[in-house]
Amino acid sequence: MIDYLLVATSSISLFMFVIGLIICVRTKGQAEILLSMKGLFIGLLVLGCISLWYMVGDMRVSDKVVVIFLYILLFWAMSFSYILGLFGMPLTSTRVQFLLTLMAHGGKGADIQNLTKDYSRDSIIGIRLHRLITSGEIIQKGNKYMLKSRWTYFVLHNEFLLFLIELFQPLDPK
Amino acid sequence: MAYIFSSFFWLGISIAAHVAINKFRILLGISLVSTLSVFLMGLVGSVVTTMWLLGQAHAGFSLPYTSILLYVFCSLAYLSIAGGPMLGGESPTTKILTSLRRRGTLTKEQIFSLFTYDEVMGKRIESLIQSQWILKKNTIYFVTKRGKTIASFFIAYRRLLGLSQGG
Repeated sequence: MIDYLLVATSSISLFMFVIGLIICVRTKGQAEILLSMKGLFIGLLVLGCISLWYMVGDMRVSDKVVVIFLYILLFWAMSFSYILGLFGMPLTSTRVQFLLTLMAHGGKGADIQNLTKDYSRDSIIGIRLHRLITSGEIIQKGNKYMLKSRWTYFVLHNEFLLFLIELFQPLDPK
Repeated sequence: MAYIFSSFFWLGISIAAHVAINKFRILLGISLVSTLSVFLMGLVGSVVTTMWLLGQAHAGFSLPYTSILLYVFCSLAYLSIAGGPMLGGESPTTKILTSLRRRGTLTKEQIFSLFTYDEVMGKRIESLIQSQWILKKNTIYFVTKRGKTIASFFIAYRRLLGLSQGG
């Protein structure tokens, strides 16, 4: 019973998260998506925890806490893999943008000038700066940019990515 | 809880094997995609252990589906996080945040000067060729059959999100 409840609650939460994100992108646009994503994730997480707490029925509090912990873990893993693996890629990946540009050129292909004409270095970096400002990760004061906090989840996640880049650097005999 | 422990046991084994194989993949001549097969082996291990646990008497909840879903989605979450670093290099967002964390304050010009053309454009086009999504004939780039399949999916997905076709 607990097994079915956990799977059903996590799957319903993920389904609502996916639908919620699609509605957010369609109505608010991409710029505010990071903020909407955080709100939606936390809102659904709290809703799922409260629902599970009452749905599991008579049970020791310590067992209920374990069930809630497993739900948080499962919903986090589901939404995280969806955001990073599927949702974000067609929106933010420069590789995907190049692929779609080339696809738009059809069978005749494109040279480097045509492939990159809509994407200058400055436009790609400018979009990312704008996204970080609207999501509240960095602050702009005049022409100066700084982190809002050195300890936000996003900044720490970034440090972890740097560690992974080192870790995944394959040993090359050359 | 035995189910959950078995899930994390197989997840730990799969991640450790994946990191080790990836570290030596050039020496061993293994492609990046082939390294992912360790997670399929881990899934088989996780399912077999779960089925074995179903036949055993043990304390606590019986959570066979939760444990398998945890293995699948934690593996996917790991691969989603590790995907960028595995493909090599910092993303522009990572580089902006790292530079601001190290140097405190930067002007717009200083941020833009962190990036070269090759870093932003060249490396990405090169990785598309390596993934065999596109190919280069003389000076012209073409989408491969594999690239077309992937692009069709992204175009449909962008439509669902109410975005332009892209490109």
